[in-house]
Amino acid sequence: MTGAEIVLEALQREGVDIIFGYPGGANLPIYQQLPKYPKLRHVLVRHEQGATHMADGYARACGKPGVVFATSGPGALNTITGLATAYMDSVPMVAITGQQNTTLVGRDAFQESDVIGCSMPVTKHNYMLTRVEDIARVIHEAFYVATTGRPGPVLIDICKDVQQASCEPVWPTRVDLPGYRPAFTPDLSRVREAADALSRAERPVILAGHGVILSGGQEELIALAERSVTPTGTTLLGVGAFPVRHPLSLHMTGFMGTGWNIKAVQNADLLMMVGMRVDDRVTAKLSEWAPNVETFIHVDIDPSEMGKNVRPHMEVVADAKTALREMLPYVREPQPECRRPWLTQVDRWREEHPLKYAHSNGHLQPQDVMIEMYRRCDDDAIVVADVGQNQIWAALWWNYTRPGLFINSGGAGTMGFAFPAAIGAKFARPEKAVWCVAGEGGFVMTAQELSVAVKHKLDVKIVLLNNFSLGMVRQFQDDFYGGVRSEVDLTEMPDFVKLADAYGLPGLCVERMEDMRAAFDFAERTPGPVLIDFRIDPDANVYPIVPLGKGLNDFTELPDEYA
Amino acid sequence: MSMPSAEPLSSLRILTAVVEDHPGVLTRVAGMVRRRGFNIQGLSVGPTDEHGRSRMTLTVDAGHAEVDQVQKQLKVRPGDEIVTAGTRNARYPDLYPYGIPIGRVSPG
Repeated sequence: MTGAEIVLEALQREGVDIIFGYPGGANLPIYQQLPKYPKLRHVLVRHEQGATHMADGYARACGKPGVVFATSGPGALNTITGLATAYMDSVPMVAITGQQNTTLVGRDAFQESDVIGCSMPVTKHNYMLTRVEDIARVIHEAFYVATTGRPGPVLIDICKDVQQASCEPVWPTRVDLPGYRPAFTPDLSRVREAADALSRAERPVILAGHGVILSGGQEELIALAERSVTPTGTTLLGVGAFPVRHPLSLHMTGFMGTGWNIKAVQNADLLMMVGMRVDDRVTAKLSEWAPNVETFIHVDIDPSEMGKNVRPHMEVVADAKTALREMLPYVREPQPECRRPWLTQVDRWREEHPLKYAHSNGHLQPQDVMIEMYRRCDDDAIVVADVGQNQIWAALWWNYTRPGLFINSGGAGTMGFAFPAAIGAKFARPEKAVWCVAGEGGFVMTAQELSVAVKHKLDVKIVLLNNFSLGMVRQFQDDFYGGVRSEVDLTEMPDFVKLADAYGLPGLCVERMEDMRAAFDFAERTPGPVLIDFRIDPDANVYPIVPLGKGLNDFTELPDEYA
Repeated sequence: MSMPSAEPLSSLRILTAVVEDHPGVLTRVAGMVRRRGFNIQGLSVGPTDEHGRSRMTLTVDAGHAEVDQVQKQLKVRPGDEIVTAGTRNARYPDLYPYGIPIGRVSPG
């Protein structure tokens, strides 16, 4: 078999059913063989960054690793942002890039770049293949590394002459990586200790991150929170890990989290952090975070997260689902009188600090659009949000009563992520409704992928929250940078209805609240992609928010006169 | 030769790693150390008696960070195996004396 055939055969053996890719000079041998493998569905993207976000959305929606093809040089370099996005959010992905011939590597050949060097800091692992005999083993290893332990993207750079060379492949049956030992089972003594502490605490809080969703541990989380009667919130990436209308829900934490979540975190005596990195967007000013906590419990699959940002008193190194399941039998139900004052207090904070937004200033409010969209999601649709104000509005107005799928680029904060990721999610879960929420700024960064949605008649509904500016940056400039509005104006943008028309999908423009429902009705009853350009209040802001550099206690809410 | 004073060296740690001997491993290890903001003060690499494995010995200044973090960080990526570590402030006395590989903590 040729190297190219081994690549495709190996992917088939790994159970791959879809590849997001773009051909070019250095991966031509693979594309020549591709038609012989009809089980490998190939989606021709319009830009390699789009391919990586599609693979990312695919992986987040169904749990299988996303697969990307790109050619050498600019093709491979265009994947870097998408790889970094997946790496930051621990999403399994395998990217296979073409490389110049082995004899030309290092000689500044056409479309040659040091892809290994460039991708090293943004991948979990990477390989450069210069021998055809290594392909079968390395592809198997790459899938193993991408999907085990803390998941992440793996890149394989394959020289073109290696794709054309031949050998009899030896299909690996096991992986031999002596230095790689992901934590599969937790230390049970720590599990028992953590469960004890949780049962004994007076003011406990659980915060759940992406790890709960990645491990499929939502049910275990609910069971543990209920048995230990512990108020439970999520990080931005953890939205969907805990039902937001659950009586114990604290909703989203962090510097744009809800007021009652922040109050609970700042007053808790025990904080259990599950499947999260405790990054700066969760803690705001670290030295002022959770000042009353006597016991930090950190559950994460990655031992290097322990103590990276917060030094825990108890470490449970395991995937969230396993750790929570193991912990559950050791949790004793607290005495009602022991927990009641805390729950009463949390309920009071929930009443004192509700989510608020400006209702009656004559403009269409983004929160109204989100509320209407979520009404139609019916606890079931996949919602993919972009980055910026739209992301936080989509997260804060998330209303699912059961664990659900909310996808966004939380760690890297990659603008332009949502639309291609929504395409990938729809390929992964064709039975699900998929809504893409984006600002106009982020949307145009990857809008060329509209062609992919049209070509494959994908039922992805695009909710554009258009405020004619880079809203989050504008809000920061207004509030924290002396009100100097510098380079945030996006008045000159395409007419999105015409843009949609040019790409071959229906588009609508909604400027008034009264027209909102009709537009959603149209989107829902029209098969295939639909774009709705919601012209929202140009001054709508995200609240609550913690001023940059301040601690969580300094969170500010929408002033009452605007509510 | 005078012994350096203990105070400025308190964040120094000596790590030895047995790594797979292929191109790019040095970049990988150095990159991980750099990314965390740790400074490499000394480095040596040489072959082991096991084919395909090399040993790296790094003197790392963890600066403001917790010194344990260097070790944890290096452990999690494939292909790079930290087998033993010593420290000048003898936080782990059983791994003293520093700099001399003692044996495998986690056998491959």
